[in-house]
Amino acid sequence: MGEGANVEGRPWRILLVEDDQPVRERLASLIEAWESGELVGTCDNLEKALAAIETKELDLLITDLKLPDGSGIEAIRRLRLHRPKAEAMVISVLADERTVLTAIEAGASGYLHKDADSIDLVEAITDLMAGRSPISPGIARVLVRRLSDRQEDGAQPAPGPRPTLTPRETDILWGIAKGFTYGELADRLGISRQTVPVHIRNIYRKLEASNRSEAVFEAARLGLIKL
Amino acid sequence: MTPARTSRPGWTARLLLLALCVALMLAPQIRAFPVPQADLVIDKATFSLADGQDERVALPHIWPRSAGYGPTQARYELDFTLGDTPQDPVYITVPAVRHHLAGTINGRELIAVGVIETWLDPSGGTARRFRVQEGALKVGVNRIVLTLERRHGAVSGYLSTLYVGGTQMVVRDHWSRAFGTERIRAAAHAMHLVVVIALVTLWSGRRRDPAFGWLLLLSAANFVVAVPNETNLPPAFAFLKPYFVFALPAFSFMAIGLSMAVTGMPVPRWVRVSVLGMPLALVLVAAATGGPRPLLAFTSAAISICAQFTAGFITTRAYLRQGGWEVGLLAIPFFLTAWYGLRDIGVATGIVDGGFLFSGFVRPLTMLIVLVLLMRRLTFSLDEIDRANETLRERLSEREAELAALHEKERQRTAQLVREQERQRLMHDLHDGLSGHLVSIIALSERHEADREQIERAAREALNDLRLVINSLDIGDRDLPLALASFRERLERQLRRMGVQLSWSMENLPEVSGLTPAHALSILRLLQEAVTNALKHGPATRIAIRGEAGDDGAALLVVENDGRNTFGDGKGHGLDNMRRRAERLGGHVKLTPTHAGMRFTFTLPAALPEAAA
Repeated sequence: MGEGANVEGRPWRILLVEDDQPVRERLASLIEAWESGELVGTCDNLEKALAAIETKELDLLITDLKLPDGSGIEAIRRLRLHRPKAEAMVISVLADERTVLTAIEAGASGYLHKDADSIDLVEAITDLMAGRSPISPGIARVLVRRLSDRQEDGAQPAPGPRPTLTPRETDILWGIAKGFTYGELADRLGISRQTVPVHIRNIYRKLEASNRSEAVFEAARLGLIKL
Repeated sequence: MTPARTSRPGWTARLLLLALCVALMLAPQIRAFPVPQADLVIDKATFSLADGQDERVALPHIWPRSAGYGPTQARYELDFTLGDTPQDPVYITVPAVRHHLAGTINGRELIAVGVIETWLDPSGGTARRFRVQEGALKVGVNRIVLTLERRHGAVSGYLSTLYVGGTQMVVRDHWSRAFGTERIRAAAHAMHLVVVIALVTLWSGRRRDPAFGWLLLLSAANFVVAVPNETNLPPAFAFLKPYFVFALPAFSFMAIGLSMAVTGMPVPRWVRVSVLGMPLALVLVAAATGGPRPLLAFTSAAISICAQFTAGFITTRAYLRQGGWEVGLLAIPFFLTAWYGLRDIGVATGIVDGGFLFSGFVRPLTMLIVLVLLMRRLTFSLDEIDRANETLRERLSEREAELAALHEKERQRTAQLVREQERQRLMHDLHDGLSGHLVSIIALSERHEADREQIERAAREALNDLRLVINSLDIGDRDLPLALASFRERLERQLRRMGVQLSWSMENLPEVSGLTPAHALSILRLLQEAVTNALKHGPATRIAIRGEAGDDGAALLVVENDGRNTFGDGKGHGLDNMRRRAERLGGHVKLTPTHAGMRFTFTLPAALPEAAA
């Protein structure tokens, strides 16, 4: 992914989108204080964010979802469209399942709590840029439910293509939903602890892909576009 | 059989039934028989009774009283003159004759046409037709000699006018064909049998209806007696014939029983007894007095006529009071039997003019009316079923609608209740955690020298607690590992920030059932507080949290730290508070020193209590 950027010895170019001034300034100062991060811009609304995405070279977009003139989801989508190599991360106070999953389906690969401190932030960004994604047990459970729902009503195929997870990915989702730590899971599955978040990233990418094709399918169904 | 009706019959129905009854009663009087298209009519004869004296009589002729009772024979000689011998076959038609008729013409036997005397006992009257043998007739005076034989009973012999003619006369003579053809009589017996079978079926399926029982009794008994009575029994059984008249009262009392059952009246005991008792008494008297006598036969007939009239009156009264034209219809055979019975006595004794006894003809009519009655009853029952079904359907849909409304109401109420409970709980949870923290943040900020670290800590605690509350919202039964995992996720960050190492393992935690969001929140808050205390009081550098199995399937949550004196002397206010909260969950807490620090053990029962902790 974007890992090569830092290999070149260049800091990650980060765009921060957050409408709440104190939070924005706080996070900006945390990024600026980090030698591996370069803040290329801060935006307090969607319009500015979209403009910045089109004009600025980026490695990472960190955005709030609730913006005064729209949703951060739009910014994530735009980023995935214009700069497919760049990554996106949402900031959320509670990092609740719905918020995070919506962002992931739009193309985000990680999330950050708004009260994150420097360590949290650096770890989150480093992990993300290294191709690892975080997942909470709650999110894992929502995903597990979704997948098993789909299996149960298999007689009635859901509209559009659905993500097909590998058995390993499914095991990991189940394990996290049951409350196992990455370490416990890695032990159980005979993989390295660092591989678990890589699998999570793959799951997220599949979710995004299926969400996108579902959107296409839905649009085609509604007659908006012709396949 | 027919339930009491409240609607009285209209005048039209009454008049129609009355007219029908009267017409049938008068039928034998109004219409004797049609005169055949004959070439020659013979209405004079020389009559002699059982070797008695010759007597010149006019036809039709009824035997005089001197014929008495029992088997006897009469002879008729009839002369006619022919000017020419006919080429065509010649027939002799006798439109009405009682008893067995045979004869010769010029000494040659008359050939009976269309009658084989098996199904037809001619003592009640019949039409006969004979063919004259070829060459029997001659020019000049021809003599017919007829023998009329009574084989049993008191019914006097009868001979109508004789008609002589060719094929034309026979072809047009429907009367003789109708009354002389035994097949029609046989058909009547067959119909009777069908009705009896139908009644057996009905009665066996519905014994609680007394009307069916009486109908069956009457029809079956009548069939058993009437068929041999109206047919020619083999000579071996012919002696029974005179006794058949004694069965008449039985039928008549059955008629009374039927009329009472049909009209919904209780049938008195004496009627039931008479059904068997009356014929038995008559037979016994006859046996005691040396065989059947005309007087006994007459008595039997008189009793049954009275009983039939009674049955007729009972049904008529019920019809007029309660309605139901089929009940009125049933009165007709009762009255007809009685009336024809009276007339037949007259005819048999020669008082009333007529060739036929009509009582026997009521039987097919009665069976017809029984059929109508049954069909009527059937349609009535089907209508009742339809109506009942309709009513049931209506009631069912009403009830369904009621239930649906009730269910909807209940559902709304339940939903409201759940919402209300959830609201209460959320308010309670937020009040307990978040609002307390926020208030203390305000208090801290208002100090002259606001301690930023303290404020930050309070704010983070507030946020943490909010996350606890929100996290626990979605927790269902047996979701404790999930709740703990979410807690661990937050705790990890919190501790890392403080530079405290966390070691966590829940692999050995047994399953806890009955978990509700409220339970989860209480458990997590207790854990959080244990951790907070460890951090606050004993400056720990390592905290280990693990799940263990206790006795009786209990789940232990153990928090160990390397700090000291975590809860002061272990009897502090904070620990008491935690104890109380643990007890509300059905568990308990324990604080024990370890060699490196303190161990806080939180024991949970395998099944959490239902009441929200």
